[in-house]
Amino acid sequence: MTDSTRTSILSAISGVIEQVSSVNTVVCSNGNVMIETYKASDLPLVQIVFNRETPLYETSHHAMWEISFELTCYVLGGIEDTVENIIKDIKDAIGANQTMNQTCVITEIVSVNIIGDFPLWKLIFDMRSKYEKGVADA
Amino acid sequence: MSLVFGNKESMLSELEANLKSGGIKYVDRQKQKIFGDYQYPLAFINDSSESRTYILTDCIKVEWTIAVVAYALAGTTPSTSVNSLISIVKSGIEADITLGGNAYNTRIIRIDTDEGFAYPNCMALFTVVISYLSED
Repeated sequence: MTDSTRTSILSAISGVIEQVSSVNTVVCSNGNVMIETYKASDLPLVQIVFNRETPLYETSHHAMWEISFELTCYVLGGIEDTVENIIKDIKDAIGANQTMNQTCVITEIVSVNIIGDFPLWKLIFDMRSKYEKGVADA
Repeated sequence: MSLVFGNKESMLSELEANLKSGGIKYVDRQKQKIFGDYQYPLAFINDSSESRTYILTDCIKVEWTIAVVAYALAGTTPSTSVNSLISIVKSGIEADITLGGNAYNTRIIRIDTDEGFAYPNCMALFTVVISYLSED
């Protein structure tokens, strides 16, 4: 892994998710997007929000951090095969790019929850990852 | 993922057809008055109100309230006649809650009757909520 920053990790994760053909839009934000301002053609839309960040160890020159983030996919329609397919596509993309272009290692998909009400569903992926950075950057 | 957006005219036409196949002999959604020699039981469909919730800029969840006013001849057993009328209209409304694939739900939320005041007719008023998605 290379030395990474929150920005480079976010950019790498969004880059991987953008490659998922069933996802139309990827948004990195510090909170929930105002989904009602988007159009149906923008969906499925993935929003990535960083949560808690904790240091795992630190040496004089180097530190490893654990960072948890939430990946929320907004999907429009009936809760049927398509929703399951998107979950599978996102899981596959994460599985195939676990190091996210060497910026971090996705250590765990903690949970996947489907919430919402017809016709708008939220597929929430609760994720954990590790990354390294020089102490000077911390 | 494709969504079906409802068309109000299609939904009313479907409801009209469903009420007819359920046993209502005359259904009108343009005129709201009994005159001439209409056959009983008959029903009028009245457009009432819409409640709109924006899901996206171009996807609106609509709860459309309509009133179905049904009449039958009361005969010598008005209570039985009105109950029979209610049963016929209910089965017509519930025959296809998607109204030809336009709506995702149709439900009767209230039924009122004339309480005997419309004799020699009997009357039942159904408040029906149709839930559908609209693009505009």
